[in-house]
Amino acid sequence: MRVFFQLFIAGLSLGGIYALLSFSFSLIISTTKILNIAHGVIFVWGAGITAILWLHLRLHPLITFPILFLFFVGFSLLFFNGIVRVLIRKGEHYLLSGSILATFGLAFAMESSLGAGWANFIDPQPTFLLPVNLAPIELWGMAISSNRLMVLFFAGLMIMGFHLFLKKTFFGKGARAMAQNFGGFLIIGLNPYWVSMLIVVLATLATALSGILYILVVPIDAYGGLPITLKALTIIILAGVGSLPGILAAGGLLGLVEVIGSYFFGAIWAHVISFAILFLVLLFRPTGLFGKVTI
Amino acid sequence: MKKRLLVPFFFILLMVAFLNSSMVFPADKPPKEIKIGASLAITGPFSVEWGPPTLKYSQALESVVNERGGVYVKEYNTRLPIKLIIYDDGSSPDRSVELYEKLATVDKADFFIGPESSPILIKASTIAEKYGIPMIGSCGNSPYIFARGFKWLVGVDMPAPQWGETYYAMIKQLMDTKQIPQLKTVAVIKEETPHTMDVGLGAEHYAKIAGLEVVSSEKIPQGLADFSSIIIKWKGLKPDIVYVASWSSTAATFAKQAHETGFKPFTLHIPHVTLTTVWHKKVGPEIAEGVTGITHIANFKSGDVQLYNEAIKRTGLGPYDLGIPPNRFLSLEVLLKGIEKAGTLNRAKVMDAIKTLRYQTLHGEMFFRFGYDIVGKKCDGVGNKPVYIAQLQGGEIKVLWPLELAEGKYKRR
Repeated sequence: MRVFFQLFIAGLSLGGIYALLSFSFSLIISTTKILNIAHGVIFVWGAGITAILWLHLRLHPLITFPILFLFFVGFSLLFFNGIVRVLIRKGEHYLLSGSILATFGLAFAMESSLGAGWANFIDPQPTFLLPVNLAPIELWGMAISSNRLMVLFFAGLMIMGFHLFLKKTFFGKGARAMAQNFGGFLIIGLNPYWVSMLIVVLATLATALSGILYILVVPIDAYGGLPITLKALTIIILAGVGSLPGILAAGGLLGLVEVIGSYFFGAIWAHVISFAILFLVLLFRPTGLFGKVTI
Repeated sequence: MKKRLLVPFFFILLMVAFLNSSMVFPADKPPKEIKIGASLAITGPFSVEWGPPTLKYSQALESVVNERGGVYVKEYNTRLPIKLIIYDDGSSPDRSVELYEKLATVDKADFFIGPESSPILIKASTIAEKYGIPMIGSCGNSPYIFARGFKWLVGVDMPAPQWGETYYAMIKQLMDTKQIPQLKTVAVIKEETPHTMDVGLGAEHYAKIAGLEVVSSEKIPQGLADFSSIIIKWKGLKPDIVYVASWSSTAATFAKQAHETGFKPFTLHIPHVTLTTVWHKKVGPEIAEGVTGITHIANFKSGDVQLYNEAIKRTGLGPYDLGIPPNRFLSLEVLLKGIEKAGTLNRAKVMDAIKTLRYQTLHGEMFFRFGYDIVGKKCDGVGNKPVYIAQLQGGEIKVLWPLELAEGKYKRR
């Protein structure tokens, strides 16, 4: 019984990490129809730049976070004007395929520049990890990772924050309207560029912040971005595009299945299990477990 | 009379000229330099363990060798400079194959140094075989690479499974001298890539020979991010030794999660984490302190230590920042010794000379083994460069084994 409880907690905390990987990715897809393959690389950049500022330049967090904020706002504006806006101008039908191609190139360029730049000028080994090792929480003779609980908490907080933003605020409602009916959205007089830009900036900031939280529990190297994009895509398809609370539930479900499956069949089967679930969901419920639209 | 004498005179002159030309061939014009081609994981996932510092060290070696006058080639009765042509393979085996093809056909490289890591060497070495160009493997030491009967490949490193043999020899000595209690059980993690799998197989194979029981063996996919299921299982099994045969990033994930969930085996051995001091800084002292691993670096006393050290000095980095410099040093040294021994740049003759080399280098006598049995595999062309067991102590890497090279004593975690 104790083993099952431990597996349950481990699965949920893994699910929290999965939700963290994917919710901002889902936000951009559902509102702008942009499939940002560079999502995982932006995530890694968030981790990497934090490591540079915090661990190597030894800046105080109060200085580190404003710098990070400005950097990623600047980056997201460049991303928006250099890629998203160009694709929107070409027409809605071009958004998905165009964004895949453009962001694939961006991902490789960002990945290599961070890896090679880091290894040449900062540290021979481009691996990022925040050495914050909180003591485990002892519960009924079991040790539960405090770092993971912290990540789970912040992931939940960010997801609920964005969910409320989309449901309750004027811009959030505008973003949803844009995703559902672009023609109708234009009639009510909102500027699609401004709404898209706001979403891209917020999602980029959330992605970078997720990267920082991630390296509290899992080390990542400069080249780990694309596998993260793939994992995030799996979670989104499982949850259904546009359902942010669904991301949390799908992440938790996948985490549980992977941890319990790995315990009984071996960790080598973890990826097989997650992709088998993805296959079944695509076969029987193509809109995902909680979604209403397909990408 | 004069006319009669002139004809034989010219005839004799012609004969002398002919004999002269037929008996003493003038040597071909020596090439400007000896071209040595290689691909290297300067970027990509494997650059975490090699990367730009390895390139820097290779270039430093090249410059020191050339300042010493290069390599003596008897065929030309002169010393020739070397030219390293190194491309970034981005840690991709397929890209590496393309680059070696280019090195053979476009750059016309005379010889090859192998790429770093077994997963890349296993593919890239097929190009050496295709074009008949000698390739000296630097770090790739999976037995699968050397069990294919390739004729143009040798690797300087000892086969990966033997790392386990060295480790258990140290454990046995510690138990025999009562520095640690009698350990009985081992649990092994094997990351599923060539090399790490072989290190894991060696961990199991030699554990049984050392009288230890392997209570669990977990195969994991490359870069696994969650070890919860393994840690929960092992908390129940309570192994004395945990042996993690993985790349350093994956090992950091395991060690961190084990620490966060209160799993602390008596001894934690992760071969790759003592290759550099970076891992200690990354995971923090509370996790890293006392972890053992392997190192290729020691206080070398034999061989051309001066060349090895001078090249390190030129990089401006420490030996533990350079991505396994003894292996880079040794692969180039073997090639140059082979050329000198063969006295020619003829590839077949150089390869034959390399295969029969025996000379004193950093670790002692260097030679290659053929038909060598490693965990049930017959290997050809595997070197004998050993590894040393080390421990992370106070942020530094201390060599513990073999005793004659030891820089410190084993400390309990």
